[in-house]
Amino acid sequence: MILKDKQLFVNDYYMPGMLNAVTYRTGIDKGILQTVKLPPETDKGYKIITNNDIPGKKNINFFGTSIPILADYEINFRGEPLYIIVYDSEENHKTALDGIIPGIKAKPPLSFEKDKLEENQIVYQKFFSFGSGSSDPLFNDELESYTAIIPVTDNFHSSEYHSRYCEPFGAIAQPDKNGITIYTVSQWPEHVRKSVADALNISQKNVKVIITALSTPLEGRIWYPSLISSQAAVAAHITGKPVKLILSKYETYNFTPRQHPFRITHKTWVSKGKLLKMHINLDIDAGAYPLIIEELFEKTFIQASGLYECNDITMKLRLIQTSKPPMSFISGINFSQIMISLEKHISNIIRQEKISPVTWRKENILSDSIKKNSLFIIPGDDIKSINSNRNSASAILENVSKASDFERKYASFELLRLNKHKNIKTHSSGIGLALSFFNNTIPFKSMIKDKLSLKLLLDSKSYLNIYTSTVPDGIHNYDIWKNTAGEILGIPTDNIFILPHQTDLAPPSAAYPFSKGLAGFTELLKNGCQSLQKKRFRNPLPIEITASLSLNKLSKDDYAWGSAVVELSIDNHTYEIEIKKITCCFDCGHIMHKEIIDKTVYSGIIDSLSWISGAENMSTDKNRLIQNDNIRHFLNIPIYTEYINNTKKNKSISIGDLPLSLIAGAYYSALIQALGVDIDRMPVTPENIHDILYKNRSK
Amino acid sequence: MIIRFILNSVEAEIDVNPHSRLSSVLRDNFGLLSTKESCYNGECGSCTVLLDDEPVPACVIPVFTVKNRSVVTLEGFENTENYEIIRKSLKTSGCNLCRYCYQGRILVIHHLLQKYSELNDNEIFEALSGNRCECTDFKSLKKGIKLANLTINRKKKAGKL
Repeated sequence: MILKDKQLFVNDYYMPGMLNAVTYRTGIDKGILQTVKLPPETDKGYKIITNNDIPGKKNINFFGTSIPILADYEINFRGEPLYIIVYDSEENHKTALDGIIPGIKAKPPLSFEKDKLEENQIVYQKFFSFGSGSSDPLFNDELESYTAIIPVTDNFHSSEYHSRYCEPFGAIAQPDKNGITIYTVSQWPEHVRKSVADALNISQKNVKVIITALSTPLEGRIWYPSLISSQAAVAAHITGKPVKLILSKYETYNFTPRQHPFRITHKTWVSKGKLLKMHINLDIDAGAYPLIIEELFEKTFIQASGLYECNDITMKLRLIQTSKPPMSFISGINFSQIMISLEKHISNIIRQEKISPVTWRKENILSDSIKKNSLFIIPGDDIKSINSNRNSASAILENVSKASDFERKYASFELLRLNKHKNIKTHSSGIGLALSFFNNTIPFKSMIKDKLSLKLLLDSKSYLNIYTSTVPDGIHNYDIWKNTAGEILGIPTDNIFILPHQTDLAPPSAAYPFSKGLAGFTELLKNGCQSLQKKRFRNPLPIEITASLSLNKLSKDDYAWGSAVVELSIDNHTYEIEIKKITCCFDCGHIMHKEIIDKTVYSGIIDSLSWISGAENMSTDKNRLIQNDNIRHFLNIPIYTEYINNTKKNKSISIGDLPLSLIAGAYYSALIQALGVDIDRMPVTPENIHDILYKNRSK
Repeated sequence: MIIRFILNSVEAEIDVNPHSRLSSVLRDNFGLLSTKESCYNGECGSCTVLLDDEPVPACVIPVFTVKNRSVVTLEGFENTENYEIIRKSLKTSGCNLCRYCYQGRILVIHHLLQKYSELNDNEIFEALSGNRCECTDFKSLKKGIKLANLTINRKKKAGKL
């Protein structure tokens, strides 16, 4: 029976005879598994599954990177799964747990710190250059033409970024005579299906994936559900019973994918307010299993060099393997962080040049003639330039500046900063501006043949049923789908049902995050509904149609633009930061649903602020989250948002993680103005501020 | 141990380990799946139920403590007029709560509306700070709560509640 509009989370499912499973994880960062003593399985109360028990492939594959389902010999990060314990009661769980004694030889962990870096940790290194750019890999600063100009140098060290999930992360595997059924939450059901089939060495036809309800957007859960599902599937295959594997909050927070920190140095030669030459040094902490995807690094280059006119850009990128959990695509691959550091750097340049940030940005946005060259070329694709849309950027800058009274406040706070020694006050104020674009929407070259697909069934009662294995970012997307279909077919939204995402019911479909998400799928839905409408009065009900849209056909040159102004004040004694006001303006094309975009922006802002201020941390010794009062404080901040559509009249563009990078960029600029010193790290805690001020004073 | 209590206005009796979590008992023994479990530390607010009309995190409440007391979950509350008012107000204000935090937030909002006839922002912040889900923005949530408050007050004045 198919439950329409019924939302059951993975933890809500119960099957007769179901066993529970947990993963036994390593307690060390790096090492070798030498010996192991497992408890005797005298009765059937528990079963311990090791790497050797996996009948098929022992790794899951994600864009060429192999990640072990269970560690075999080498341990690469703390919390790497070693065994699966399947049990029927808590007592048996405890007996099994107490009986496992692994003999692990510890090795020194791989660190991201500069002075502890080993040669073999650098798994990928590349030099990028653009324009007249010197392809000098040694980054020789003594180039003749620039000797007279002192470069502006900025360092930035980001912190980890987690995506927080409310519902438990997990999977249920139910074996049956035809194969296996997996219940999990994933935005890429086809990847889950393939991974499980490979792990069990069975045909993909025998694997059915049912996507359970989700609360917050999936973000980091691109490949991880495939790993958990494979673990649950192996356990179910061996025991012959349904197995539920649910991760605890502690496991989710500490051992699942996240974005690791990076180090970036921007060095720019500036003359008369023009960027002459830019050198970028970027080290990315790639975790234990680095994802090496060339196209991503090309995008990183685009992001790190920004949309400002500079004819000579060079970037050295290094991907560093460390003993941390693997990475995922949470807000791209450090795209947001890179934009933050760039905007901070640009603000510092502008401050030194004593120009208005608004005027400078307007004058230095890439012009159309430059975009035609080579910077914005999708790697491996035909030469297609990406629309830099100067008009849009200028318009949003104008809007945000006027709405926040930026020019006047900036000049005033700048004067206070320059005369700081004369004006010792209890509070210092600052205002910062950032301009950014969203770059994470283009599917990879290897996915270009993939299609977004759906099946529409208009039944005999004129009820529309939508079947798809494409899983959206959040349930709010369903409202847009229903409204879109309802408008075209003239059906009340109450009579439109989005059926549970099941691989056996719906045609195979591409992953949502790589396919311009909502904008792409809505285009497909429109096409499907229009085809259905044509058939509606010619054919008797029920009518069924299948529609698909190749990712290749999705426009690649649509970037969402945004600008934000953050105004804050800092207590000079306690370093407590109070955000006075946030003003933003976005150009993300046609707005499909005002409330949903408002929600995305607002949540993105709160997320960004809690990330910058380190508002949430998991304590290392206890299984609990620590939350300070910052988040509650953020809820009270006045936020003004405006949307313009200078891009394309009836086209929607995903806004993605734009608020995340924008707010942080503006926040840093404002903070630097208020404090009068550069802030080069994350999170911005009173301790870090004190540390930076102390170092600057001692200098 | 046999525990008797009022569950959603109906007398309930169960023979369980007295130290079991209330949330687990509600889900596993009574099949009340709207009570979600997430952090098991009383921090995320997904498991909130009303214990003698006070919102409590059911995951840290041992079941023996509910003996002879009244427990209300969303299943018991969703047939009331107040629930309809809250649901409609949230929908009107554009607040789409995910199903994971839904029960917790709805019950907390109900308690808040029962406690105060006039609401200010601080009381709303205070009440909702116990729920950590990020599925919605606070702005629309606040708007929805104020709208519900207004509707309830009007209905009370008109003698319809």
